[in-house]
Amino acid sequence: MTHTPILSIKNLTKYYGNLKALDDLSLDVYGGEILGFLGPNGSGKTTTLGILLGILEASSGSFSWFGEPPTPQQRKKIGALLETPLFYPYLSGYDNLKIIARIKDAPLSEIDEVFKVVGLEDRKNSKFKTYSLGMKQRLAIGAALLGNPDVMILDEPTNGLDPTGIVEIRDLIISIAKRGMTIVLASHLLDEVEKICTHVVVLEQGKKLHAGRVSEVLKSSETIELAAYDMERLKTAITEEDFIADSHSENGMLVVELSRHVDPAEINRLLANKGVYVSHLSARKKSLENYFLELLSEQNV
Amino acid sequence: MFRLIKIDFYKYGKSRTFWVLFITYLVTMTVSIIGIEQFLNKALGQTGADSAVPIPKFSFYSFPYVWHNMAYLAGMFKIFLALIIIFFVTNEFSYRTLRQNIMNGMSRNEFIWSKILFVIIISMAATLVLFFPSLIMGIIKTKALTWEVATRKSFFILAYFYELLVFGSFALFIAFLVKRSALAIGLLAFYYFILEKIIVYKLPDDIAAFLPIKAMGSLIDVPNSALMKLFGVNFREYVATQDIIVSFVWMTIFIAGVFLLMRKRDI
Repeated sequence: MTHTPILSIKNLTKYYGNLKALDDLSLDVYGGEILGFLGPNGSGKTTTLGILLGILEASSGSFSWFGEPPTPQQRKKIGALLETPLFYPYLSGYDNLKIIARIKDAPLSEIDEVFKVVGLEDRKNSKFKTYSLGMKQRLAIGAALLGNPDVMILDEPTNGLDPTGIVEIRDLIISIAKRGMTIVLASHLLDEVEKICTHVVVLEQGKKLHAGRVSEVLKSSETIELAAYDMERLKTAITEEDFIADSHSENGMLVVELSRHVDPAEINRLLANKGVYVSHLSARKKSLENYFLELLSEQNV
Repeated sequence: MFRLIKIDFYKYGKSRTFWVLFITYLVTMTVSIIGIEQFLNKALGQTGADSAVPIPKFSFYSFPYVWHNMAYLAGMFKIFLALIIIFFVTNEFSYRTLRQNIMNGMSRNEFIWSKILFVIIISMAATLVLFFPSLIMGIIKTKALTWEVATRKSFFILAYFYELLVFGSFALFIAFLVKRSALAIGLLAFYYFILEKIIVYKLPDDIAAFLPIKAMGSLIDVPNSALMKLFGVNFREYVATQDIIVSFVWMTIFIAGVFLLMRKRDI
């Protein structure tokens, strides 16, 4: 993409005392992307988002929003949910959003719409402290939606929710994403990122381990299980092909890793042409979880 | 500016705690202003009965003395207003709504200004709470009521407002410094009631006059009553320029301190 990134991070580093929480992170996010920030707890996700939202001060490095250096004014166009929902407990949901609308210079008429989107219309006049955790989380997403933001930053939006709550929040995020909004989503739940995001950045101990499209991550790690009566011939035949990245035996089967996507039917045809007839052929799509664990274990070797 | 006042009004306007505290203050002040004379006359009247010298009964309320008397009395309650300020500012830290405010596009300086405006509004409200009961009592109790006599020492009302601004900035600074309400209230009370008193005691008077609580406290000196005159004590019936300047310097230091604290801090 040639247009300017919505968010550009350059060499961001953050120390808490002696602890390096964020180590030279650089990153670009373009319009329409749903970027998953993936990493175990304490990997620097919240620190990064806190810096981007003007709450934490970076030790060094810089970032820009919409191609310009950060200002409070820009944050009015960024909808954010950081860690836990933060509201005045003694005020109603509605009054809390009123404060936020005023800060963001958003018309108060948006508040009712937002309550509709997050499904809290019935409870908008109840005090915030009477809300369940799921409702608090939904109110926080509602708050983030005020002011028609161009970007949403969601930090662990399903944290602490029950399974129904998780599904509800995910559906909500997906429906927001469909409006074409750019979203940065931090999560330690891989399958959440896999289900929602288009792009992914993997962080560990404040370092960027990987960044790319979710589909590429999954495609590049495609594996095929093969078996034939003559395993030796199978092995020779298949390793001749240029799309094979790696192969090893596993439970009497040959597991090959593909360097690019190849249709299993194509593999079958190629092998048949060489006179090898497979007794077993199955494509094994590696989940982001396997990939993630692999990345982390590589790092720890 | 009105935007900031509006935002802050949403924060406190529907808080029951806020209104309970404020109405408690209003009632306490009004009752104190109306009842102080009777209370003192009774207390002194009893000692006076055993005294060789006859102690004159005095009226607190006649113009122009009512302004000075009541402003001095109200000054003793200013710690209560500091508690309101500390409570609501530290709330923003403990609910972490400060984070939410900044995330949503408030600048750090705007946030500080909203709290300075809060101090100003609280001080204004407290000044009105002093002004109206004093005015009414003055009108009732002054025999020869003229415009001139009613307004003569009314600058004490302004001095009281100024004293509250300075004290409010002190409370604001402590609130931003320690961020926790109990700790901030403890620190303020410790400095106000104990620490500065010890320092004042150790220092010569003319140097002690530069301490913050001492300076803002002496803006309005002890009123000269007939009783005091009897003992030959004579307090200031004006507001000293030195106290105004020293208080102003402290107020500037406290406010600058708040901006400094918030400049690079992780919140």
